[in-house]
Amino acid sequence: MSTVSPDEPRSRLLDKHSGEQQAIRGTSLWKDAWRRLLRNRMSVAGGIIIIFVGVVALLTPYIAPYGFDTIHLADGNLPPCARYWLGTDHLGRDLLTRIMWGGRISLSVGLLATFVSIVIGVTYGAVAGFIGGKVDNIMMRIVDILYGLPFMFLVILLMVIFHNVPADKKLFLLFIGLGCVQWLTMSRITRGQTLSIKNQEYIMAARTSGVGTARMLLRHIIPNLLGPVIVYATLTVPSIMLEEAFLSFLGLGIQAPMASWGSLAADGRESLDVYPWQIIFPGLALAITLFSLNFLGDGLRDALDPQMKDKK
Amino acid sequence: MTRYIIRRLLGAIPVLWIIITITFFLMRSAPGGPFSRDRVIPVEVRANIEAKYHLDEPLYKQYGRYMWDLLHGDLGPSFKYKDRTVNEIIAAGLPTTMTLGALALAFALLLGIPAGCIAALRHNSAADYSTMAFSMIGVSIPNFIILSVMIYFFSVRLEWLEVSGWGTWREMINPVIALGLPYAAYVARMSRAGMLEVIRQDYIRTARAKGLPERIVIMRHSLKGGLLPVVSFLGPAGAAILTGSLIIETISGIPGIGREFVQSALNRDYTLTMGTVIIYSSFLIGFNIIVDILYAFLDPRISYE
Amino acid sequence: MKKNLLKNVVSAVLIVVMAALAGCAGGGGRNRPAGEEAGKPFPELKLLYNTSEGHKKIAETIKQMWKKELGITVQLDNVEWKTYLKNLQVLDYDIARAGWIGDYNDPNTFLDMFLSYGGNNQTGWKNAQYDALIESAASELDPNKRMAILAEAEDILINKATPIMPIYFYVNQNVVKQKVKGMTYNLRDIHLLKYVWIEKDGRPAPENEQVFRFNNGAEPETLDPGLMTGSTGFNIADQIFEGLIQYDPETLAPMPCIATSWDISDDGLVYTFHLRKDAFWTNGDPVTANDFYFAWKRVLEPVTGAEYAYQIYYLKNAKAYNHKEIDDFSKVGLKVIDDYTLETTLENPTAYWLDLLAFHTLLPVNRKCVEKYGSRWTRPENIVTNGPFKLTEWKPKDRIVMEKWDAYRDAPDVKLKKIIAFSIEDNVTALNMFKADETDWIRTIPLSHTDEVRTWPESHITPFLTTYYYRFNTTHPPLDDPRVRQALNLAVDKAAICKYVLKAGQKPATTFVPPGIPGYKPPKGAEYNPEKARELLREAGFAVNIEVSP
Repeated sequence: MSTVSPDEPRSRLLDKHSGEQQAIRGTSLWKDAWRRLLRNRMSVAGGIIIIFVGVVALLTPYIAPYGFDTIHLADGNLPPCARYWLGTDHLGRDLLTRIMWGGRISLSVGLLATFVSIVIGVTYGAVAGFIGGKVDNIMMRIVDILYGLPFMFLVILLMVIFHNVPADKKLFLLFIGLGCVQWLTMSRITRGQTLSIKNQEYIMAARTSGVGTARMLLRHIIPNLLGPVIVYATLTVPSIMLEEAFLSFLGLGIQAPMASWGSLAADGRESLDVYPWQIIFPGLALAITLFSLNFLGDGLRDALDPQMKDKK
Repeated sequence: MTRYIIRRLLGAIPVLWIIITITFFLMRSAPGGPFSRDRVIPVEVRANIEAKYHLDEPLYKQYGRYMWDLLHGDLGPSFKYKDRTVNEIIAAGLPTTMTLGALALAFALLLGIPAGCIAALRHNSAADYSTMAFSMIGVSIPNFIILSVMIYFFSVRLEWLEVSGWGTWREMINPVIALGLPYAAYVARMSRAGMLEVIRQDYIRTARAKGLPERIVIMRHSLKGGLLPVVSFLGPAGAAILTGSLIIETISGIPGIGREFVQSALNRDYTLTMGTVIIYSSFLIGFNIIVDILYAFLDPRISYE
Repeated sequence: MKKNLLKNVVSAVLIVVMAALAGCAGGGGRNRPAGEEAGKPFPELKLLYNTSEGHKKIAETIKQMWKKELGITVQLDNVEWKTYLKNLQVLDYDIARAGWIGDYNDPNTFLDMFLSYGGNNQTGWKNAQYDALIESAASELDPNKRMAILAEAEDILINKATPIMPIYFYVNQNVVKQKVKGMTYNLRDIHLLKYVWIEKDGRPAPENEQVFRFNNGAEPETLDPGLMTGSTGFNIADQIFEGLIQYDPETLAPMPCIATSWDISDDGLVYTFHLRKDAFWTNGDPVTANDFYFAWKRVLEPVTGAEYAYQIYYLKNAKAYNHKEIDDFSKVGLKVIDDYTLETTLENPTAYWLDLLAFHTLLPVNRKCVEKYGSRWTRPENIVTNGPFKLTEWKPKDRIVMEKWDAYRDAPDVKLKKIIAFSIEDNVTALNMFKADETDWIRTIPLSHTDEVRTWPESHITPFLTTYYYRFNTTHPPLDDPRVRQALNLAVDKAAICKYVLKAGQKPATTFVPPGIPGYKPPKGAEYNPEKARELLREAGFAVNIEVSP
C-alpha cells in the first residue's frame, strides 16, 4: 500500500539528520525521475500530444479558420471538405474551429477543477488520516454529508444563485463547482494512504524524534502521497471533462454559443447516424487528449516511484 | 469489530439527519416551485394547490411535518406525479436501478480486476499497454456516446438487441455495458496501480524467495493488498453508479429511479428529491462503512481501536 | 530543500498556465469596429431561453442576425425550466423565448394573454386600447364582428406596440407506420384512436394483430382528467374518457358525443345539453348529468387544488367559488335538470364554450370510484372510465396499456384491440425504436434527423395551433421603446430560420395567431427588412455600427 521501499525509511531518516546530504539526494531524485520519464516512450508521446493540444488551445484565437460562433446557414451539416476540413454543424459553423475553441474550455475546466480538488482533497485527507481519532471521524463524517448532497442540485443552485453573472464568470464557477465535488474522493483516497503510511517505521521514528504535526505532514506524508495522487489526478482530469459533458447533456454546462468538447459530443450524439463527423471529431479530440493524459500520468507515477530504481 | 460497526451505524443517523435538513432547505431556496408552469395559474388557484400540499405553511412547520412523516416511514406524495406517493415511486424504480447498477458493477469488476492484474504482472509489456489503452477507452469516451453507438449498431442496424426497455437480456446488454465500461476502466487502473505496489513489498519477495509458486503468491498474497485501492474506490462508485445511471436510463428508456435524482430536482418535486437523496445518502454511508470494514480486514496495518 | 523549491516552481507555472487558459476561454472573438456612427451605443442585452437543443440553435442564429444586421450584441442565457419560469414571472430578463399552444380553436386563446392584467402577459406591456378591444370581443355575439375586433387587437399587438416578436408557427410531426390507417391530423394534434386500425395485405389485420404502439413522450403526471395539465395525460384521457362533445377529427368542429344535442339561449348565456341514454361507465352505471356535475364541482372545489380549474371559469360564479369568495355551489351556473339534461349558465356569452367542453378538465369522472379510492382511483385495478378503451396496465415511466372495452356503445366500430403508450423521453431513442419497429407512431422528429425523416412516406407534417415567439421585457430600457422592439423584429430573417434551422416545414410567423382558424383574418405583419430595422434604431437614437464583411 505504501510507496516506500524497504530501504527507504532508513535513507529518509538519514536525510532528516543531514541537510547537506538531502540537498544532493533531492536533486538527483528529481533528475532520476525525469530520466525515467523520458525512457517511457508512451508517456513521452502522451506529453508531446498534451503540449501540442495546449499550444493549439492557447493559439486558437489567432489560428482558427473561422469565428467559433460564425454561422453559415446555407452550409449546414456539410461533411469534411476543402472549405471546412472537419465539416460543419447544423448551423453551418466550422467544426474544426469549434473543436479548437472547445479544447480551450475543456482543458481549462479539467485542469483547474483538478487543481482545486487536489489542493483541498490532499490537505484534508492527509490531515484527517494523520491526526486520526476523533478529528478523523468528524472530518470524514463531513465528507459523508457532502457526498450525500445531490451534486446536480448543487450545480443547479450554483448556476441559479449566480444567474446574473456574465457567462465567462459562470464558467469559472463551473470549474470550482466541479472541483469541489471531486475533492471528496481525493480526500478519501489520501486518507486511506495516510492511514497506512503513518504506521510505517520511519514515521514512527520521526515522531519519536519529536517532529511536529505540520512538518510531519508537509515533509513526510504528503510527498509520499504524490504517487497515488498523481495517478488519481490523471483520472480526475478525464472524469471532470466527462462530468462537464454530462452537464452539457443536461444543458447545464457551457453557455452557448461557446462550446466544449463535451457539449460538442453531446450535440453530435443526436446525429450519430446521419452526420457522423459531428460526433467523431469532437469525440476523437476528447479521447486522444484523455489517452495522452492517462499515459503521461502513468509515466509520472512510475518515474516518481523511488522503487523503480532497484528495478531497472 | 461488532462494536465498531454499531458505532458507525449509530454515527450514520446524525449524518443522515444533517443531509436531510440541508437538502430540505436548499430545495426550498431554489427558484420556482413544483407548480410553476408556463401557463400561469391564477393566484387563488395557486393558493388552493399550496394549501392542499401544505406549502402555504411556514417553512419550519413544513419541515416538522416532513420529519414527523419520515419517522413513520412516509416520504409524502409526489408533487409531480400526483397519482403516486414517493414511497411507491421509489419502490417501483429502485429495484430496476439497483439491478442495472449491480450488473454494471459486476461487469466492471469481472473485466477490470483481471485486466489490471495482468497489466501489473506483465508491467511495461505489450499486454500492459494494450490493456491500459483499452481500459482508457472507457474513461475517455462519455458513456452517452458509447451507449448511442451500441444502440445504433446492435439495435437499429443489426437488430440483435432492443433499442429500449428493461426486463429481457436483449434489453439489458446495451445499458449494462455502457454504464459498466467506465467503471471497468477505473477498476483496471486502480488494481494495476495497487498490484504494482504490492508485488514489491517485503512479504511478497519473501514469499517468492521461499519458492512459492507464482499463482499462490498472486492469489493468496498479492491480490489481498493489491485490491485495496479498488475497495476504497468501490465505496463512492457503488453509490455513484446509482445516480450515474441517469443518462443511461433516459436514453435506454429504463423505468428506474436513477433519472429522478436530477429530474426531480429540476421539477422541484420536493418530496421526491428528498426521497432520492435519502436513498442515495443511505447507500453511500452504507457502502463506506462496508469499505472501511473491508479495509481493516484486508490491511492488518489499519486498526480501529 | 531544492526538492520543495522545484515543486513550488512547477506548481506556480501550472497555476499561471491554467489561469491563462481560463482567462482566454472566456474571451469571445475579435471584432473590429467599422466606420463609427454617431449616437448612443446599444447596450448588451440578455436572451433568456430554457434548456433545449432547438431553442439553443434558434437563439444562436438570431444572435448572429442581430449582430450582423444591427451591430447589436446579445448574450445567450440558458437556464433550466423552473428558473426560466421564475425569471419570466418577475420580469428578470431582457428578451425571452416563448411558445404558446392554443387551448381551443379561436384567436382569443392567443390574444387574451396580453391583457394588461393577464397572468401570462409577462412582458410588462400595458395597453388600455388593447384591453378594451379584447373585452368587447368577449361580449360580441356576431361572429364576424367579433373576429374583426380581435384582428384589430392583434394589429396593435404585433405592428404598433410589438411587445413580442413572432418567429414561426409549429408543425405537427407525426411519423406513423404505413400499416396504420385511419389517423387524422388536425390543428391541435388531437388523435382519437377509436378511428384507427392496423392494415395487413390491403385489409384490416386480424383481431390479435390490432395492436398499436406509440411514444407518449414522457410519463404522465396524472391520469385524473380534473388534475391533468399536459399532453402526456391528454393523449391517454382522449382514449379512455368521453365528454359532452368531441372534436371532429379533421376540422375540430364540436360534434355530439355524450350530449346528442344542445339548445343555446338568445343571449348566448344558457346552454342546455341533452345527454344520450346509451352511455355507460365500465362499472355498468349509466353516464348521467350528475357525473358532469360531480366532476366539474370537484374541479372547482378549492381543496381539490386543480391547476386548470380556470378552464371552467366561464360558468357563472365558478371563479368566485373556486376563489372561496362564495361557498354556496348552487349559485354556480351549473344545474342538473334531470338525469339526462344538464344546464350551464355562463358569465359572458362565450363563443368557444362548446370547444372547451371537450377539454380534459371538463371530462366526467365516476363519483363512486373517486370517492372510494381517493388519489388511487386512477390505478388500472380501480379506475372506472367511459371511453372506447379501458386502462389495463400502468407501469410508471415504462408504458401504459389500454385495451378495447367490449361493452362500449360503438364497440363494433372500434378496431384496435390494444394500445401501448411508451413513456420515452429521448427523441432520438424514440426514433430508433421506430426504425427498429418497436413503435408505430412517434410525435416528434429530432432536429438532427429532420432532413432524413421528413421525406419518408411515414411522415405527416401538418400545421399546429402553436406559435414560437420572443418576448421583450418592455420595462427594461432600451426595450421600452417600441421602435427598438420593431427594429429587432425586422432584423430577423424568419424564413431562413425555418429553412435552415428547423427544416421540418415550419412557417415563418409575422403574426401571433397561427393561420387556419375558421373565420379569422389576421392583420398583415412586418416582413424581414434589415434596412428599415437600422432606420428605426437610428430614429431611436442609437448608433448602428455593423461590421463590414471582408
